[in-house]
Amino acid sequence: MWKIIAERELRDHLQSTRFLVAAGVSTLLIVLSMWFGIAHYQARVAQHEQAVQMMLDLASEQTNWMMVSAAAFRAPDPMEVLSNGVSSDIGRYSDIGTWRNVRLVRSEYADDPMLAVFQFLDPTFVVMIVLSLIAILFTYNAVNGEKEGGTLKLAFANKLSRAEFILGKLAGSLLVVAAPIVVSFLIGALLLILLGVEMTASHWGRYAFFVLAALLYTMCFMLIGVFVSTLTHRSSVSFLILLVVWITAVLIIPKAATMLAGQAMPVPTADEIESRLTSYSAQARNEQSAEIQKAMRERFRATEGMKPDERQEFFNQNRAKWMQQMDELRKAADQKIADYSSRLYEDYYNQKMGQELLAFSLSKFSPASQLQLAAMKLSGTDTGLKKRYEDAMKTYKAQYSKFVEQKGGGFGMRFSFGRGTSSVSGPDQAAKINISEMPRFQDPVYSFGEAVSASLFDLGLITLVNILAFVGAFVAFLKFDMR
Amino acid sequence: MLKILIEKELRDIVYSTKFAITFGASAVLLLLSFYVGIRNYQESMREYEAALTANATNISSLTDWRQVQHKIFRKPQPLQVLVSGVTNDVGRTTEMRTQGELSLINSRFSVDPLFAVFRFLDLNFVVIIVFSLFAILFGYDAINGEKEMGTLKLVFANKVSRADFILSKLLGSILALGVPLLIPLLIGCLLLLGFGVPLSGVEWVQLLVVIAAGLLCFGAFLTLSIMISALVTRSSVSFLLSLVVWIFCVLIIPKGSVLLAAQVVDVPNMDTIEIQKRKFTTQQMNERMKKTQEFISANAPRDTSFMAVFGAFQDSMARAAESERELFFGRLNEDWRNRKDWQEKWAFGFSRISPTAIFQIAAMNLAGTDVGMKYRYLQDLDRYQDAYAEFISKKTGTFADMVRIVVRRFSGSSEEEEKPKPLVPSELPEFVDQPRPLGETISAALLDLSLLVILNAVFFAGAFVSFLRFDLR
Repeated sequence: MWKIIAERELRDHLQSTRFLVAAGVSTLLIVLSMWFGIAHYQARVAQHEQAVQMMLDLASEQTNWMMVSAAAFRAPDPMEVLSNGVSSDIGRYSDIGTWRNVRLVRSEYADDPMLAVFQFLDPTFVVMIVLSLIAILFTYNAVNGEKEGGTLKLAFANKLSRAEFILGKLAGSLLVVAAPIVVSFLIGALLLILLGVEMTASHWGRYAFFVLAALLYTMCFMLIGVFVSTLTHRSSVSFLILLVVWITAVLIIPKAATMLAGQAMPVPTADEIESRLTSYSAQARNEQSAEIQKAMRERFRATEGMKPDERQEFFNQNRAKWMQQMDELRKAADQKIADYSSRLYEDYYNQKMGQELLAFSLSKFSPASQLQLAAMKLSGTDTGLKKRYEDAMKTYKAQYSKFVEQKGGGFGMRFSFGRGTSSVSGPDQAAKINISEMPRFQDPVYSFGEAVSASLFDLGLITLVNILAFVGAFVAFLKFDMR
Repeated sequence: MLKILIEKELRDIVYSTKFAITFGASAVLLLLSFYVGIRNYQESMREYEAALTANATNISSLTDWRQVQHKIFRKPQPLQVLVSGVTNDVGRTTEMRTQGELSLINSRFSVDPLFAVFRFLDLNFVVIIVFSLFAILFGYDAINGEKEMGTLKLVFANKVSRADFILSKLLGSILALGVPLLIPLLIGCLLLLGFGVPLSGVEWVQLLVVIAAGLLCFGAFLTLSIMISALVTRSSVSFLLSLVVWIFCVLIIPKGSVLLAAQVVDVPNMDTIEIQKRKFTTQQMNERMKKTQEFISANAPRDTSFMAVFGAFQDSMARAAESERELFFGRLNEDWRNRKDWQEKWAFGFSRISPTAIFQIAAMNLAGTDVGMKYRYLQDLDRYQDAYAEFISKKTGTFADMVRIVVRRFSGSSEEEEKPKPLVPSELPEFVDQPRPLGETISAALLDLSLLVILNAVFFAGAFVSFLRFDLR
């Protein structure tokens, strides 16, 4: 029997203008946002390749590894098409060098504030805002509208249990809304293939999970819609209530939660952390330079009274030893600073993670944030993206510094110790460096397993809301006053 | 007669459940946006001051100006939290140097991606999303709803002209909805006063104009949806139509226009510019190193007096290189900026199809958080850099950044007993972030403000005319 109700529901919807408009708009928007996203992704890929190539070209002109300005660039990921997340907010690259802190700079939005004004239209946004609104539009009068229209009494003139009726109703509405979503994401997948986006199996798996999340989310608003529609007797009232629910869930809770967490658990700013590091480094360098000065004075003293030839001889004899001495001093200071820095940042990140945990836990009262967080984690554009890259870049920095040191570029201004001798050759005479020896930056791996397990909790929460709303709608209808 | 009709309209709206719920929601959101903005401002101010203090402490722990890593922080402005625009996307910190191009780093969102996920709830956002939705909810069935209910016929059973009716409808709903919105807005302004947010007179005027623009945006949506309601016979259809219009205006057109503009005007990405700059700098460095070596070979150093000569040589070379660099970078930047300007014009031009985009552009211009903010601020920084370079070169006798450490290490003549004095950070020239003058912000927003007025007039007239032709049966 419930199948008949579902069929009727389906027919009713399919023939309505409402369905035509809603399905048209949602399909158009999802496909459009995918298309824009792909175009944007391809532009990013081109920019990334160009940037890396230009960095290498520039480096290969050099004759000394110390003169190379190395940088590690963050590679774009096809999943950014689905959810742009924070990928435009965090920097695209970091300069890499022994003396430089790893810091992602030049985010897309900072480079081009024009993009930041209206931001991107990604499928996550469309699902979050538009599909939820459409879900409400389809269900706000699911039950009380039938009562107002008089069809409810008509339906129950037949032999029909209440349970069957509500089940049929839900099944019918779900199909109606799910179909356009599935179709649009299939078209989206086709677009990805046709436009030649390189998708791995992991990407497709995450894509499938994303579609699942979108379906669950839309379903959740539909069930809430039916629930509210069985709780109230007038469809105009249920629509208003749902609108308020929608505004609260989609617009207010997520924003308010992060702000609350920001105020409840303040974290020192990046500037504060950096200035602590700066003052510590300055101190360590001062100590190092005092040591060096001491050593220098000793050397000058030793040369007192020598003839120029002898002095030269003395310098030549000891140069290697002194170099080593300097290098050791420098390394000790480097190590001290690195240790302090890692301690400082670990602490900082722990605090930040606490803040984030609070913010996201609070925001998870809203299905919209659950969807957004799940989508970002599936796409790898969550807030963890920054740390993943910073960690990878720190590893690379260590690797690169070691490499440069091996190449003998340990101390940049070495030539100035030549004291007028031509022992160091000028830039033009030296051979160009061989750029293929340079270690390459490896983007951190974000696997399918990681993505899915990170988003599983949020997906579970959406499912839970679905179940609650379903039970709510079911029970409320059993008690619904049909008169 | 008109007065009676307006009164009826006012009563109808104000006594409805719809009004109670939607007005309640908008009022709460507006107050929340003000409150959150104020807290946000206070928090940013605290961070800003902490950063300044830390910077000063760092400087005063040093004894030589050559070691100083001076930082400049962008000061938060009260209006930025109400209309955040690009504030949180543009870097806040600048590492000051005597030479070389300055950059803005550590934008709010890049440092705290947590806040970038859901962004902030600011006044601008509430106006764009909630005001427009509020307007549509009341406008979509203004005319055809009355027809469906049968009240339209009832009204026209009296001696009422169509013009009177539609005028009363329009004016009545504008009054009934617009005036109540003023209440939370005014309370919001009082909150600003109560929490002691230091708004200058100019900023108050700017805020009032932003509020006026918000109401105009609201008016545009209200008259538009009344027009739709007079054009379409069934209220369910006009509701769908209005909602589709809303989705497009608020969500799609602004975002789409930027992407469209990127297709129309091709601007080389920043990285190509950056690489050109790096190429230039590397070349300069190589030349300088070569010249330095030549200099050292030519004037074989014998005693400590060599350092003075060497320093002077380095200094003059650095100055020459810096002015060369400024010229080259300036040209590159200007070139890029000009192209970008075109792209922005296209993007914002397209987006002006949507009244909410018009409002946003106007509000950002008024609050000084438009896309130009970054470039204006960079100009201020450039000016400061000159003053800073002068200061450092006066203090240390050298302008060159690059050789500082070497010079210091090499001049091993200083005696250990000599206890150097700590630096006084307040000696540094002060960085003043010039606020945009009122006239400039108003004139930047004038086009959009007049567009909003025109839209109101057009939709008002449109609603009026379509009702004159409305089929009352």
